[in-house]
Amino acid sequence: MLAVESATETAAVALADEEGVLGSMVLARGRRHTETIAPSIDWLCRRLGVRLGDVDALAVDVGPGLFTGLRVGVGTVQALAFALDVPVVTASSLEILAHGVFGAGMAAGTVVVPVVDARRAQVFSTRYWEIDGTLTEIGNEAVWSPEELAADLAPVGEPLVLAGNGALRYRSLLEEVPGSLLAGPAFSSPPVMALAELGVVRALAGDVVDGAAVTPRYLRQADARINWEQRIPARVGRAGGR
Amino acid sequence: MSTPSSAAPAGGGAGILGIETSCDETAVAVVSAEGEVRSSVVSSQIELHAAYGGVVPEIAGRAHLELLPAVLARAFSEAGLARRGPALAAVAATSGPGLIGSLLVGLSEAKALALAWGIPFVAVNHLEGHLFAALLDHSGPGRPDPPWPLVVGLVSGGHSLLISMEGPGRYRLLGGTLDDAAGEAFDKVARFLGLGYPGGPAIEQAAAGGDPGAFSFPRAMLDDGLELSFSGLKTAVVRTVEKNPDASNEDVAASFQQAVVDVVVAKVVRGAQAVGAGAMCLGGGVAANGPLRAALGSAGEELGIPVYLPSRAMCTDNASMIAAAAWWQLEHLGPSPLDTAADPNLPLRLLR
Ligand SMILES: [Zn+2]
Repeated sequence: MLAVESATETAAVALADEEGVLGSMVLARGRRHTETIAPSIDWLCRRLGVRLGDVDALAVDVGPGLFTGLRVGVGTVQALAFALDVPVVTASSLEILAHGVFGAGMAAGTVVVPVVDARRAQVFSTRYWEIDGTLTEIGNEAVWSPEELAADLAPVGEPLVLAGNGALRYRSLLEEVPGSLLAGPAFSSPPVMALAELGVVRALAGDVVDGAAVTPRYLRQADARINWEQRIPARVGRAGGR
Repeated sequence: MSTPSSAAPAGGGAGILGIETSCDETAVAVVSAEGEVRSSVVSSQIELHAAYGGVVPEIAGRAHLELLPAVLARAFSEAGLARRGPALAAVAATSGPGLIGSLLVGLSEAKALALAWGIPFVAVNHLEGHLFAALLDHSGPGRPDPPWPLVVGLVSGGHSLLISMEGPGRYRLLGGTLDDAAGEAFDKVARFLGLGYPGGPAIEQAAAGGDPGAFSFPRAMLDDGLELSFSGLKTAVVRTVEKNPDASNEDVAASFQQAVVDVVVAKVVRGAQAVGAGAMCLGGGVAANGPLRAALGSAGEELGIPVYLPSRAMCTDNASMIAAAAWWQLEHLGPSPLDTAADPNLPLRLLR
């Protein structure tokens, strides 16, 4: 299992098998994902003595997050899936964050709130709750302003763990929420090891898709800005001979 | 940075897989060492962007990622290649210039493919691809060298350059546009006349029914130097139509097109004479224009200088030209590192 995570400024890859994670490479400020992901995969495989040809499943973080980062991660995994002829496990960045926090251990009854920075004074978020030892989403992934999110969390009344670069960026606001606790910088980006572990579990359960079908979760419409100004007016008065 | 080291069989029927995603075409092609195009698939996003009158970067980036798997699979099956261990010598992709969010899709996928198959990766300059488009049908590694130097008029929506190719990787800039690119002028005039987007084919079609001598539009610096300029021409079109509201779109389009053709041909010919070119070439989307191709062809005949024209499909953005340029690059400069960046402003390496 090769896992690729690039939903935030971090670029990370990991290799894992049924027994656990074999190794990972995390570049916390790897923002230039196109430049770092392929060499990271190459390096990690060499150091661990793993041939890419022996990888039999891939896992990828499909976001929400940084659009360009997601395109590099998803594009890389699409191409690897094609060339290696292997299936892909997809997971959302918020889900990976929640699993990472859950895996680090927390008190029963705690609500995990992953928060990924969406830029333009917005965040992506949802909620997870442990039910009988498994993590279950109890909300929907959505775009929030930090103020709206804080207001929405205030009446929850359960202990809350907030994690992710969005939580850290708007910490002064979110720390005001009663019962909230902030996960540290280790959970700034979705932990790639949690993705690799999740990937192994899902691949064994047959919860896989074809690489060609993997697309990022943008959760926001494309910004329809044109790269030139419309400087000359349209001809008026006459119908154009088309 | 290390590159995958296991060398693929050079030649021996192996191909180079090229990927092009710099603007609004998602393209994949397989080209053999002999310059034979085994497959060339281009999926255009024109309809996605037509409503906006230009390419929208974020929409283009998303579309490339969605379209690429199907385009890749088709190019692969048309070339008769197997997914595991295909007979490829390298995987190439455009690394610039272009839209950053689009470039990185093709670049990331090409690196991953090269890594997975253990073959070299080659990053290609999009402009170099256009320069080699004309050579696809005429030359290639393993075939006789073209009669260097070649003078190429690279005319597209983003560029208007006059370049002397002295060999692979050896380019001299003879001139460029001082303002708008030729294709940009086509797009703006087409939009002004209400002819739609993209402007090149729209103008050519309208012009076919018009009189190219109906209006005498300016031909900037026609008799002087190797630089080009199209913004005065565009302004003249707007003014002329305002003064003659009854002028037909056909006549305006034909007269505008003739002015562009006259200027481009004059500059390519002057450049060719200045460097003693062995042949004259065209490249870029505007090189698909019929009257321009015909005019350069007859100029070449008159002067006894061969003219190499890319097929119309090779004028607009495609991946065959990227794979063709990659063959030359691999042979003369070797593979590119896996940490190669996508560079929206990647310059063409020029001789001084
Ligand atoms: Zn182009």
